[in-house]
Amino acid sequence: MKKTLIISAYFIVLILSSAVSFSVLDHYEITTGHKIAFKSADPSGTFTKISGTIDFDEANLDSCKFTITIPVSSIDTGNALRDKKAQTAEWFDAKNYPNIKFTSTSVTKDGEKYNVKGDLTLKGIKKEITIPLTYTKKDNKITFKGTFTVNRITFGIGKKSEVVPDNMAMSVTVPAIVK
Amino acid sequence: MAIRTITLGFLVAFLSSILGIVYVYFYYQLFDFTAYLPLWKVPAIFTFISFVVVGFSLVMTKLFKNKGNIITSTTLTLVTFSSILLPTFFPPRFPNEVEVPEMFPAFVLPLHFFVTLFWLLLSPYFLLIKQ
Repeated sequence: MKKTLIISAYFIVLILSSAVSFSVLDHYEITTGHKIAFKSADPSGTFTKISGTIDFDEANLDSCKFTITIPVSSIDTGNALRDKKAQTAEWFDAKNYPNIKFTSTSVTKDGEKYNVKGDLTLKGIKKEITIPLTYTKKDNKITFKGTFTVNRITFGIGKKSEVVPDNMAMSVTVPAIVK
Repeated sequence: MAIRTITLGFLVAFLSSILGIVYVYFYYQLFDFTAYLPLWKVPAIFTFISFVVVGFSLVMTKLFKNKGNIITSTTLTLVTFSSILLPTFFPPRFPNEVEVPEMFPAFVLPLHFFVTLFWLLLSPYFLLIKQ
């Protein structure tokens, strides 16, 4: 009886460990059709470029990872002069901090949504934020959508102003395909 | 004999996994390869290797009786040293987020020896008794 138990345990652990050892996370690369929009009373606009990778497995959220980079130079507010001003040291300081970066640290599921917690680095200042995202999958393409708020003052983006509000409502649509 | 070999496998898997997690955890504070080798995979891989060695040892003991353990230890040692060459012939393809891929060989080479060293250390206590 004892021998049977130990031999059974051996085969169970062997099968489980091999399954985990050889499991491969779905690795995605961000593709076209993305939209990174910010909205406030004034201004509103989008970042037209984004790159990065997403490791995502619904069944294994602990190993999910979002690594996203947005070039500051891709800002589009619909006003060329304002876009140029956004690159200056007072705002995004694109010369010294050319990219906005987000690296996730954990992903948890909350009903239909996935809460992606991570470090957002803007103008060299890193702060932890949580982005609630919905997720859809079609063939080898996944799309994440979500909205969240960023307080620009805490990142040193511009100064307090009666014209430009502190909080920017962000709306993101990030499609990615299997790499 | 099978029970003792399997027990040895469990112990080798457990000890190499503990040491592996500690080693990888502290190494990742310096250079993070999570995107290529997540921390949770280390105990799974060590357990899998340990149990493959158990299976190999049982087959060798069945075929070659007392010389089975010598063949297992020798083979395991040779395979371990040969595995050092793996990254040379099959260079890993790292995800973009791995920032310092050139540090990976220095990180991973010690890991190749964990299971083997624990097996060689503990096998005399389990497999050389009553032979």
